[in-house]
Amino acid sequence: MKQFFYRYESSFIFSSPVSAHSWLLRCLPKEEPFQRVERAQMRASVVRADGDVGDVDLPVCFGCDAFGNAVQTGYVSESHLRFSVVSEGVVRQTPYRICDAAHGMYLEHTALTLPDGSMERFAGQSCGRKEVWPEELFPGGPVTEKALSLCSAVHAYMTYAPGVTTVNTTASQAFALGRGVCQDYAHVLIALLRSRSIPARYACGYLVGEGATHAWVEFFDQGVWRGLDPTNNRLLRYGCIKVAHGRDSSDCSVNRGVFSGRAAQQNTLDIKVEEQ
Amino acid sequence: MYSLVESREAVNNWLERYGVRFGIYKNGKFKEQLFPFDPIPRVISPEEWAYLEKGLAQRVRALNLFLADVYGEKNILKNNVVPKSFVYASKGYLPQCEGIRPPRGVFAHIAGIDLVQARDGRWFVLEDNLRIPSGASYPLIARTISRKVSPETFSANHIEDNRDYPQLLKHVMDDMNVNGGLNVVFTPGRYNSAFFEHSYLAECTGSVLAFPGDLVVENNHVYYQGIFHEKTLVGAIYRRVSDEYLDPMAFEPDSLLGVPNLMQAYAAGNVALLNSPGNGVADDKGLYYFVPRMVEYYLGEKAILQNAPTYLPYYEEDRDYVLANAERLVIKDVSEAGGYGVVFGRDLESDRLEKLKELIRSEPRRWIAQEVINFKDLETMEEHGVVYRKADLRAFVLSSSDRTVVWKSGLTRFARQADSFVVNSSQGGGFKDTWVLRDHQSLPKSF
Repeated sequence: MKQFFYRYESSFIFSSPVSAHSWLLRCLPKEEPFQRVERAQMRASVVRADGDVGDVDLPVCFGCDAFGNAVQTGYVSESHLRFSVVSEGVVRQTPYRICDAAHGMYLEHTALTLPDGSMERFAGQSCGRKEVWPEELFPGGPVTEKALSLCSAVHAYMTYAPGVTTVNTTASQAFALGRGVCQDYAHVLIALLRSRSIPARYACGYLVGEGATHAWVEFFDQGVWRGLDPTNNRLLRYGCIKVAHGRDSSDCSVNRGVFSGRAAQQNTLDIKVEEQ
Repeated sequence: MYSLVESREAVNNWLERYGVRFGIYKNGKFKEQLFPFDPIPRVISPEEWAYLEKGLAQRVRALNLFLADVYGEKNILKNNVVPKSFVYASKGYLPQCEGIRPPRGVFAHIAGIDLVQARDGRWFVLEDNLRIPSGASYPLIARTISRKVSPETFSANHIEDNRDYPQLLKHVMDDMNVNGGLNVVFTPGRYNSAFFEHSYLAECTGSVLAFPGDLVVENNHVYYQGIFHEKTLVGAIYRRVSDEYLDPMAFEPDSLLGVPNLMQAYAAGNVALLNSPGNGVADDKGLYYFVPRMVEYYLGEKAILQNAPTYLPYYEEDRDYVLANAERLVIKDVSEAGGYGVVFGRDLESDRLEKLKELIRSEPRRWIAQEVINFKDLETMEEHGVVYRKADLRAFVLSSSDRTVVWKSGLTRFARQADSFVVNSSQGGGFKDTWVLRDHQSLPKSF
């Protein structure tokens, strides 16, 4: 068992005041068999447009979405120039595995994960390839083997390149580009896994070190969901603080908001995870 | 009823004054057109109605149980009565609704079941509509106007009064209302094809008509904010905004029509939504095939109402039959609604028929095929006298926690062209009142 401290901090700075702002966050760790939340807290605040009081804390509603992820929602009607979120806590982890059933929805493609013909061919060619993975990590059968070879193939095929894709880029678009970020790697691998009838879902959270949110894939074999990170070509064990999972990235957005006002927004994001 | 038939123009003029219109989008342009009313009603005898009423209530009870099961325990899938992939691949299945139990367990509060009657008198269900079926307001207002224009027709014939629809609807809304807050009819706005209905039903049920932007979720409860931004708690929303636009946080992120975080408030049980989001999985044209099996599975009864004979190309045996007989079947794209995506094999040139067959082979899950039912033509008044037109019947079934009620009327839609089988208002059809007779002496021999 290992213990990790995490801190997530994010702000939206608006160029002119916005109001009637509804928000939905997924910034607290998800309770999982491999991940126990020792302590975690979050706060959301705004800097008002009439701004002499500094940060004002907002009331937060704690709920859960249909995928079992913790969600935090709220609404602020007053006009404001800045919206900030801080979440921090400590989680304990055992090696990444989730004993559960596989819901049928994780076999169906979504708009973001629909593979095209060239991806289907790619999946066919990649599945047979033997890869060298440390064997003691996964006493899996042929499904796990397939999943691992697809993960390696995606990792080898794609080039990591920030800025060429957006949050709306589909798996087939990213595959055609051959480039993208962790979200695109994950969508491509999910598309390939589902096309080989392996249940797969999108997962996201915070990675050890400092940086942005990370996305990876979970696949299902013999009663167990395992984490597979195509961006780094590895099977996950420790150090991924999982926040959410869903069919694709749109089910897992860390931060969604709707407000009125014509403002340009600038987003800052700061994530830190360290082992204790 | 002679006088009613003679009053065709008068009734239509009144309908026009009341703004009874149907908006359609043609070539990207919004156009409003009148929904032509035909004064000759569809007449249903007491015995026939008793049969339909029983069958419709049974069907809707089963559909409600199916929805509770699919978003809950999933026993029907575990027992392989309905294939899993049919449910999870359905466009109407919304994972965002998994595990949500709506207030008092009702999913399909207002169901519109489309039926046709064959020449031999047998009735068939063509389609279930469990999302936001429209149409009840048309026979409702037409009856009200007809009674004004031709009162003697209604004193001479013993017809079940259908003007109780608002009370039935209000009963359901009150029953679902979770906190004694407002009942609201939530419309996408005046450019929606059924805007007349939204405003009329809001008025008749004493509900507040809310437009996009009028509703807000704060502290996980829904509030109506009037023009002075005073917030009033909302307990039940009869929403006429479709699922995908309902909440930009859970569905289409770009939706400007929706209420942000509505799904969170709903999942917490802080507001009732009529109908429940996610109902599309049960009125999917593909799942339709399984409805009689659902009736047996959940109720342990034989289905009273029959489906039109239907084939699922998903099953190999059915696929072979459909490919061999495509030219005499009606083939429907399961993802389309409103009369779109419906093709009669006999109308296609051979090369287009081949193309369609190719699509059926490559995407079998996307299609269903049905035998063409030779449905009974109904008498319809045209400028030069009575003509015969194809017509269907949309029956409205209202479910609250204590009862399932079939409204003693319905929307009878007819095709404008002589040989057309397509009666949808979006395709230019007209409508009739539907009379359910109270007793036999009153069979309207003379109109």
